[in-house]
Amino acid sequence: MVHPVLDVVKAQHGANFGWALACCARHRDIAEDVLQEAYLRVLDGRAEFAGRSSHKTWFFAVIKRVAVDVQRTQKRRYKLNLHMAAVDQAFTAEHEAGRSNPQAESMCNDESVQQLQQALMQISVRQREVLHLVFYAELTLEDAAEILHISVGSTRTHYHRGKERLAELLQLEQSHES
Amino acid sequence: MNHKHDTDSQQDRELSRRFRQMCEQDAQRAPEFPGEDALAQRSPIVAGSRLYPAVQKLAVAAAVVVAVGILMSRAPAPPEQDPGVLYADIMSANSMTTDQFLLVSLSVSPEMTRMPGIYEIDLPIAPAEITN
Repeated sequence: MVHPVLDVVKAQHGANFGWALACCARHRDIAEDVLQEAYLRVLDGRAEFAGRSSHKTWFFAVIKRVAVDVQRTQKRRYKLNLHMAAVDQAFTAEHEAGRSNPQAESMCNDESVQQLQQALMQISVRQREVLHLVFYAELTLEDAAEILHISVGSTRTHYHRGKERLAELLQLEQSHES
Repeated sequence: MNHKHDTDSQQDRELSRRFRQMCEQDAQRAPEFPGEDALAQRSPIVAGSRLYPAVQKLAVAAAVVVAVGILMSRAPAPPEQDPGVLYADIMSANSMTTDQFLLVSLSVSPEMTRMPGIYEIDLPIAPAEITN
């Protein structure tokens, strides 16, 4: 690969795919398309790294943008197709209410991971995204705010509320160490 | 604010552990990094989202051109089918019988036997006096 930035983002391909999955409610097919489009945008110069943040933060923002574009396009297609109206409603409802999608491919066998994925689908989309960026991608709240184009204060609120709700759903112990 | 500053609780460590597990599973199931051939081919979603406005404008322009072409290629109507001629023919074909329709039978409307008189209004001043 001759593109220097693409070589850098290629090194974090696994994390990129994880973030694409999170942005697409864990629809594997859509996530793969989103990720490929994100790589394409880097390759043909539509997404340009300006050096204002790390490569990881910047490319995660690119993935998020592509995911939003793809979801918008898909919703438009669903609206045009009357036969897919029910699917559109389910898709929209899932994103608005953060409920689990029965059609989403379950990619895990481990019970604790499966529980986590189910719990993540029961919190809001924004909370899920923030928690993913912080715990999964190990980014700071500032980076998460930059990727999601929201304020740091708002990100912090989503983080704390999402974490509380997730712990409640997973029935985790609330014991804090001194 | 760093994430590490917040992970000082049992709860946070447990969440981190589970997310890490999920990350490992996702990484194992991640597709291969697309090769140059795959990147050279645009996905249908991409083609749809980017080219859609241009294709839409092109389709509208083509439709307009086709419509104009059809209209221009049409031969003029023969003189006997000219709308103006047809209208004139229809209007002059029969004499107007409107006055007969307005006649009302006395049995239907007996009140019509006596028509109201013509009322004359006496002006208080003569018209000549109005003008200065």
